[in-house]
Amino acid sequence: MDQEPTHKFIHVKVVGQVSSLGGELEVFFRIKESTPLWKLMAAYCRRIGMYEVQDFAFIFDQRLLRPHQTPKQVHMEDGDVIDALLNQTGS
Amino acid sequence: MVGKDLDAKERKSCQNADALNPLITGHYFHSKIDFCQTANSYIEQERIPCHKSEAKSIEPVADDFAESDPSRVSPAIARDSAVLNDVPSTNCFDSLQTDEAEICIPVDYVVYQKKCSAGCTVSFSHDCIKISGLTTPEEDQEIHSLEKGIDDIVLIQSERLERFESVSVKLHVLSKDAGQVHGTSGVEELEFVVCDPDWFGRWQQITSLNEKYMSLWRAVHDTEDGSVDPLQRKPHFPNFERAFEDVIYPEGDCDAVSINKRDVALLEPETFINDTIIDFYIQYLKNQIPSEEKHKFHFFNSFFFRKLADLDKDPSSALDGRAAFLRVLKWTRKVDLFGKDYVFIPVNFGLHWSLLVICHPGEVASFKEEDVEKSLRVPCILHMDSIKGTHAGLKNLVQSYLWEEFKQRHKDASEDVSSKFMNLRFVPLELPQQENSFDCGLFLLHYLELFLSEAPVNFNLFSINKFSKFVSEFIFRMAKSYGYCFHLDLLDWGFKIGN
Repeated sequence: MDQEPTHKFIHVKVVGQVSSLGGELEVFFRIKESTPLWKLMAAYCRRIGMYEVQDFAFIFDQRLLRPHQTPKQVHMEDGDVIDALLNQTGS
Repeated sequence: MVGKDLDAKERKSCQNADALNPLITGHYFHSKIDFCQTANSYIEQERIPCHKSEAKSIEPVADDFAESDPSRVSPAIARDSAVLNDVPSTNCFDSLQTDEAEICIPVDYVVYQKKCSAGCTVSFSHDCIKISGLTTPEEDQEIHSLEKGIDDIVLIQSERLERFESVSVKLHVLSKDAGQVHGTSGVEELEFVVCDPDWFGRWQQITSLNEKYMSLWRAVHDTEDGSVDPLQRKPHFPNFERAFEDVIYPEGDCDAVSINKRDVALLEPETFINDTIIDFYIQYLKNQIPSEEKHKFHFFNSFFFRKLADLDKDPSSALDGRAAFLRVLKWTRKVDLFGKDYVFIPVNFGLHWSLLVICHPGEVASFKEEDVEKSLRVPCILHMDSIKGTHAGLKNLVQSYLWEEFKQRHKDASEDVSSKFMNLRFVPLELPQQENSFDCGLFLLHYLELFLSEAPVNFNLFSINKFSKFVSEFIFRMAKSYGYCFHLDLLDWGFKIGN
């Protein structure tokens, strides 16, 4: 292990409101600052089950997170919270 | 600690196993899930990978990312290092043919006696099933385990949960106190969910323990040709990365929206459009505004209202204006709504889209009622809804939101000002209505597009005969374009992306 890790890890929490599972659901993640967020999104969906990644909107700092953004790009810091909301549709 | 003795067991069993998947080593796993909504039913689950000591000397391959459960590896990571078949490596067992063999499966959660427990382990052995780490129904904090002999099991049902490699397994077991408790059939249900890419292999191991398992096991879905495939063994790996092939608009903008093919498909006739499309088109319209005028408008995205009204929880709590405000406190950190001419809020409520426009919010505090006919800028809230009369609570919610927002910025605001906000005019506009059950999203966007193209700097809804020229013009254009069917640039966009 000669190489120092070039990016540090942060711990973030994804909070979702999935009423079909009976309420609020929190999942903690440890993610490198340079890792694209889709990995986190995918992992969250796998954790929840039942939904596909595209069914969720991940909101951080009032903005919709895009899959290829990294925590660093969106200035995510240790302890930050991401909202996972099911997509809305309507007639 | 839930997994402590499990870890010890696993560690022992792992010692002879060759190279555990390095992907899941060296991580710190921490998951905290609340399925049950009550704060005190949290179960904290901290697991240390079973050969932690070895992990120190192993450079984790994919150390950039850790999931919250050691039994799983995200397919993308797994694919990168081509170790798919080694994935379920937390339980290392080679030969399971002996009677002593036990198959331990870490499960996502267990539902038993209406209680949901996370971080449990289900062990199958020759003659019984053991579940450890359960939460008792009476005392949320106490952890206990449950053991059911194979003869107590009436039926095992498993169902593959679509789209993920999760399997829901339902055990129907004879309850201990069968016959003693009134109102119970004597058979209890115990459900657990496993996420295991090689569930079929796991199932084969379980059924090889004792052939009774095989006879008890039923899959819920039969295959199409009528034959029963106990576990639908075709592995199902969602390709997450492909799901993200999308278009980002506007490129490089911090408010950019990414749309994928699935969103574009919603532009087909007679479909509901989703928030992505709404947000995308709002961005598009925003970009059409000359840059020197952009500062006059503020566009909230489609999730603002959802957070404000907290539609995911108890809808009645939305009526608490202060609580609603606090939920979206951060949303206006960098923007002063009271410096805007118009603030737009897309609303999704009860599967229906509509649009709120707050006109001249900066004037509310200083506005004098007697000026209503001569003032150039009369503050009000417009509601543009293609199906009228469905949003009763909106008025108070928006009024109190504005008041709270104002108070936040002007700490010395008096109660007199409060009443001005709480009496801010709320005008549901008379607009052409949708004549079907699926176009509301397009109506919202069309309302917005026309409003932006027509909106004058000074706007007084109440000056001439209660309706300004603007509004009548607006409605006229609206009616006209509805007659011709809308033309939204959106549909052209969809066409471009779709191809």
